Amino acid sequence: MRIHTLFLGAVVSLGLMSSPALAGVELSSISQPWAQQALDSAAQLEATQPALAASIRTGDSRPSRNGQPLFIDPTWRTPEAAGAILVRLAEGDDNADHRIALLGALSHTGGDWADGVLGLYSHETDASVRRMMIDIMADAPIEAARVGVKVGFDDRSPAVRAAAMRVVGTHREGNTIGELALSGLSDDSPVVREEAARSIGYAGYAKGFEAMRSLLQDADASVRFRALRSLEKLDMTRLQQLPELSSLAVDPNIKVAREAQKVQAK
Amino acid sequence: MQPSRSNPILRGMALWLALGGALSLAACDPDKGDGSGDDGGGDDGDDGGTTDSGDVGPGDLEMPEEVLGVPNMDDDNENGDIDWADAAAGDNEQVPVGLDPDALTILGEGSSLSVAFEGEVDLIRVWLGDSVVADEDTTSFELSGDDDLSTLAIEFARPMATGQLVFTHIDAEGAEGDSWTVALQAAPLILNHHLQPAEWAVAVDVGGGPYGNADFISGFRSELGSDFGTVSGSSVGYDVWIQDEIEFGTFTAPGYEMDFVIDSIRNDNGRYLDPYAEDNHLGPDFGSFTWGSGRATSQDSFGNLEVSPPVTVDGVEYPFGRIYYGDSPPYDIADDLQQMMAAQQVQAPFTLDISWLCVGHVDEYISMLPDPDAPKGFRVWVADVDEGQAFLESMDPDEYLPYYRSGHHYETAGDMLDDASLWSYNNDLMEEYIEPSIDIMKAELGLDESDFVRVPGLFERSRDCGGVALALIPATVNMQVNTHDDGVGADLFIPDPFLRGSSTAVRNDPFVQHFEALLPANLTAHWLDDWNTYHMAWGEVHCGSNTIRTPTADWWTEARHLMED
Repeated sequence: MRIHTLFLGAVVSLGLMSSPALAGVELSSISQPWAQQALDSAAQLEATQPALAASIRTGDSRPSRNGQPLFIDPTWRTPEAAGAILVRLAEGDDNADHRIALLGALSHTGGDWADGVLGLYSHETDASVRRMMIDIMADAPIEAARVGVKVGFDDRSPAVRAAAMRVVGTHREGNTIGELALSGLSDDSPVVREEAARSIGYAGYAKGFEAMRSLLQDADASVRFRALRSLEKLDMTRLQQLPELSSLAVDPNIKVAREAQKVQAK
Repeated sequence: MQPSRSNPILRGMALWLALGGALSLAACDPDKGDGSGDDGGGDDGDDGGTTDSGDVGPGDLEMPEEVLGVPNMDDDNENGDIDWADAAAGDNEQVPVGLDPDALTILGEGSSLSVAFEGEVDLIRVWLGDSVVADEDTTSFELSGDDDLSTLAIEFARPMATGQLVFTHIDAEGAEGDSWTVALQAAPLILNHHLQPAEWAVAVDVGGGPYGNADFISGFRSELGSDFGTVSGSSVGYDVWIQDEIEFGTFTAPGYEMDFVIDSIRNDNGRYLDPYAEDNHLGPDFGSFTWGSGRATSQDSFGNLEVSPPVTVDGVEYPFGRIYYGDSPPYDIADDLQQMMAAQQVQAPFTLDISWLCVGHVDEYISMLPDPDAPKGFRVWVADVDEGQAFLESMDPDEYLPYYRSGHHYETAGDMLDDASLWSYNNDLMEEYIEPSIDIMKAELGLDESDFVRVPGLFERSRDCGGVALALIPATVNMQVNTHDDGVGADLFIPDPFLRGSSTAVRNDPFVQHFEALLPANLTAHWLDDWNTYHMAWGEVHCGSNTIRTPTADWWTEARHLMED
């Protein structure tokens, strides 16, 4: 079966096809501060910028180049829009693809949205939306990102756990939460292990070197390759002294073998 | 809307005239009458030849060597179906064989011609007047008596369809005599490259306002005037990605040109441009067809299908360039389309790994521009991360970049430079994907480093796409190349990078200045604001436009060496 996009292909392979829409969350019944702040912010927007408020309430998406719906109205890219977008997200009237698009728009507001997204996370039934909730934590304040990585890594979906690992390697302060990626190195899913290895390298989390060594003998070639690449970033000299390198240089996977040979030659 | 390339009546006349040139009709011309031409298509035998008395015989009959035509994939009667499906007589894509109308007289009283039809008989029809005399069900027929041999014509169904007609002389006593073989060859579908002159460009107009592209549209229109057309956004669900929906090409035969558009299988999931090709182009002398079926991947979009300018690779000339497209196994272009392009051989396709890109199209990081000073007449412009870093380091690290604040979470060039994980990621992309792509292009196109221009590029790990790449600095190589009639000069419509403060004019944008300094004198840059409608929706100018181009070479004289098995 042919599918829409490269990314959607990965979504399918990870069992993340959209489930029915979120039933909706009554924000007024949630006692946490973010919920009331979102409601207040949305009301404020309604009063001061009714056109923008209406756009957020009823605006429709446009297709991205690969067909994923997006909310690209630039007027939404303002901190004042965050509360109203959170309210729409919580109402649950949008399907999963549109909830993902709302989360994308939310992350571009520059407003206070991270606590709200984390608050809605436990109510979200669709793994693809939860994946996006975690991915955008790369743009959240580091403490919210830390929470996001933790809750995401506890998710039953490997795609969500991979997203949690990805936050470590994408967040500008990822080095400060590098330790959270260590647990991902032993995840059951090779996708998660690969993403954990990548993130430790991108974050420059040098303490992860020894833990990542074990992945040089991972059963999955993509994991071995990514571990090798990340170890290069952490400490090339130390990597070149590892005895595993000689066996990797004759790895049955040509990509791994070439990379190992390149490291040996440097 | 784009009109047909030329008057169909004139084109029909041109076809006939050209056939006279392409096919060996000298013996049919009573003014020539020397009968000396040997087209090599027949078995001379020993029973013919001009007699001493001046009588003519079978040896005087000259037959055409081959019949070249274009597949009948346009819609002359505008019924919405390609004409091959109609099987109607008198279509101007039915190519006269060019038989001497007096052939039976030349062969002698009571003679007839037995004709065997061979080859891809399911993809070719043979017409005699208003009747089909050979097709996949009937593979032989006889020409005799009152048959008007001038009306024997060939109709092709698909590109590169081949066959032959074997004519055998049957004399009045029923004995077999000489035979002649006439090859039948349908044109390849030639996809366009950037050195071909642009005739007409098109984009989807989604109006003004926050979602709008008014500046984008007016930028094209002010330069191209009537050579630019638009599609109403509301009529196509605001699907602006017209590069991805269609791929323009041409069919040619001696004296004949047919514009053609491949209609992508990109038909769902917000791809509302699906009916565009049928509604706006399919018609008289403008063909359209879809190769493949089923649900599309992003790789089925035609920003992922490009063609190099003419190249010579290991001594083999590719006068129409080579097709390249991205794949990311198991996701790639529809099998039927891949097979068609590969089977044609004239633009021998090769692939690049685009698995690292969210959208996954080759036009996201590569373009090819005419350059008369370049050894091969063009250069490959490719996004380069190292150049991106060097460029950002040349900027004021503290200048506020408003577009990047709201679009990409970076407020300044300094912010981008300080993000170590961003550079780790980009360096991986460069080493693992972009440089290998450059190596593949060097090998497949016979290029070396001097044939490349490395343009500052920078990618981000897309949150929406699960961590694969989207352009952070707009992909300036993703431009529309509006080549002039000389095949050298060109207007370039390039995405505005907005690497400047809000009060700075585009001409003072440091990236614009850097880019224009790289341009050869034959190219003129026009910077278009594509930020909200295209860039933030994961595409750029090239993705949002498409171009009809003029064919510049004849496959039957310049590409036969590529078509041989």
